[in-house]
Amino acid sequence: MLEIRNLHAEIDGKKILNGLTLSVPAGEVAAIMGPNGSGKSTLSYIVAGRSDYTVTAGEVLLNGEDILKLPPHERAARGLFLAFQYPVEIPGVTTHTFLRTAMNAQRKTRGEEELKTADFIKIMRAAADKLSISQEMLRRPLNVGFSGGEKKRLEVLQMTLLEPRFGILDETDSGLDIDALRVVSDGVNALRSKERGFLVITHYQRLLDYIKPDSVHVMSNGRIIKSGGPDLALELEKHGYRDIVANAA
Amino acid sequence: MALRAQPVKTPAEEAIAASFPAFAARQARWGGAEVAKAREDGIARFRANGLPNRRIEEWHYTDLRSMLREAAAPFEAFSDDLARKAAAGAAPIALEGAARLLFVNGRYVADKPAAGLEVVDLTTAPSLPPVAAQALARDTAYAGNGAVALNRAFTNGGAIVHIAAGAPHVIHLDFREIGSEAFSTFPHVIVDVAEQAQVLIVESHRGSDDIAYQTNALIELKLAAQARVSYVRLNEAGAKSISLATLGLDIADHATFNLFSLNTGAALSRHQIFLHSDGEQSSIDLAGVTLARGKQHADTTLVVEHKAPRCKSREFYRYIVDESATGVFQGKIVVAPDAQKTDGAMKSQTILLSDEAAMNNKPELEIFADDVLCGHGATCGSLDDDQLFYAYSRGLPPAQAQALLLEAFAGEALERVADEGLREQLRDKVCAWLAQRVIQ
Repeated sequence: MLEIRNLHAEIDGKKILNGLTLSVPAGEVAAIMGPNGSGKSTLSYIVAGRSDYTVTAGEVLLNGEDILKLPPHERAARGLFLAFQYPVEIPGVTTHTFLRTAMNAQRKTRGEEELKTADFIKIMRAAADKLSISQEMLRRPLNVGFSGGEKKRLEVLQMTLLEPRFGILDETDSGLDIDALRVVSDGVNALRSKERGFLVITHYQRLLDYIKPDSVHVMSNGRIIKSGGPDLALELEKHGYRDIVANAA
Repeated sequence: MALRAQPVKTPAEEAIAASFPAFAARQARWGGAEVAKAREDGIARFRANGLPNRRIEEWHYTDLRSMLREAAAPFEAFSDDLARKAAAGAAPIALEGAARLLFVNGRYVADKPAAGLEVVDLTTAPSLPPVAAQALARDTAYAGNGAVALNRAFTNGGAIVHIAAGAPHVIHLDFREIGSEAFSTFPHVIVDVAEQAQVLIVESHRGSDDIAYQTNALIELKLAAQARVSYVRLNEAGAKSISLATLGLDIADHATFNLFSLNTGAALSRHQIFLHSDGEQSSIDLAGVTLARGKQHADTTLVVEHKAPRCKSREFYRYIVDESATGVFQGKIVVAPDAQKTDGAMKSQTILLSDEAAMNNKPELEIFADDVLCGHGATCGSLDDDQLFYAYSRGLPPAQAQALLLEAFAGEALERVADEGLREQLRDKVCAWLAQRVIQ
């Protein structure tokens, strides 16, 4: 499970998170919604360990362990996965090579044996097929020239292969048409299990029709201002953020 | 009255000039009138100009006068034993079925002869066969270059090679430097590639890491019409060495020339390429990767001259500069008035891995024709933070993430090597270099 306690963070002296507290038990999906600039993407970066931000107070516990002192690759090896809102292009590295390198790097950090190439290919092909990712796409440089939908499907493929304990999806629905949204959501839903939790960051209720959350949280000004069940998302869709934000202020 | 500054000669310059008469006299038994004339021309230019230095624009970033403190004597003590010892060393690269021309301390000493390949050793004949003499007497635009002049004055070995249309597909010019004390070498190799011949030429330089030897190689390549040459150059010169090399290229119509150069060696290296495209519709691709660390200084300077219409040239160079090393890239594309429809694009990109690392980029276009498509671009930066974080977030530790991105950066230039086996060997060399990196 992921537990965020009273998290404060800033970048270049500007406060971004102001005492954010959120708990997502294992097996559950929590959705974070909120207006632009409320700090949603920043939260995902800070939990994943991006060094541009300074955490000034608080804790982030992954399965009971405070991960804030760990470098990002060790957080990943302990089971944290961030699906990026804007997946990064890496020219010169084929998608296939990147996936294998990532899987084996995590295994190595955990003290496990590396995957045999043949085993890797088998696992990768099966997972790619389910997400309608072609072998040709896997031979191309990572994310280079991929459409928005292809990039998001590839994020889900990476999550599938890396089998995290906890996944953060940062606006995974942005830039997706309905068909791609379904493929991506199916991919995420297939990973839902009793042991695995998710934090889904989104602007729109639409994604939550496909990935049904257990809880919905509204974020504004760097903290959670309201929490509720799935109905809260419908309410937001109808009335917008303005009243909730005004009430919280 | 105009004052003309008379530069003070450095001790190295004085030593070089003083050693010439006796050296030339000892070597006079080979090369005939052509080599003798070249020596006199070369030393005259050297006496007038001294070592190339920052006052000469094309040497601005590589000031040999200040960098070359001591001139080592030209190597003369050739022996069969030395040749055997050099030949026994590990091959820098595996080339199946290649004809090998071995040059030990500048002297052509051995070959694996092959049909379609004629090789004249410059040093065996008291006078040269007419073909070789003509090749040596060719007038070139770069004769005034400081390194070229020195090579011509002190040529201590070399060969003239003729590649016929049916020649072997792979030819290895294998330069090795061995010895126990510093010396200098000045090999001169002329390669004529016949019409329609197709060949892969690999030029490699390797030498002892223990001695501060100095090499100054001149390789001149003439491609006849429709010849197709892939050329791979490997600089793995010794860690203390100074490695100067000049590649002169003369390219006829419909010929294709693709070059890839991997530079990792020498304390100070400069690879000069002077390309002259004389016939229509030739196709030229020059690419390279330079990896420099420590206090290495690595310079690639090229001049591509388009003299005829409808030719295409691409220049694509990538540098990874670490610690307190310095990279230099100077590229000039010259398009003559008659060379309409020239299509030229030059790019040089650098990743600097430390605050002390430096890169000097000087792209130039000189265009005298009005209907051409020419451009250049140069970038210089550090590793991309977004790419790094993305890789970390997937579980790659910093050293591995950086190596992956750097390999990819070099890899995009390596893609230009068509021969897969060769490309993978070059990639392994890049990875080996990256694996030695010390990450702060």
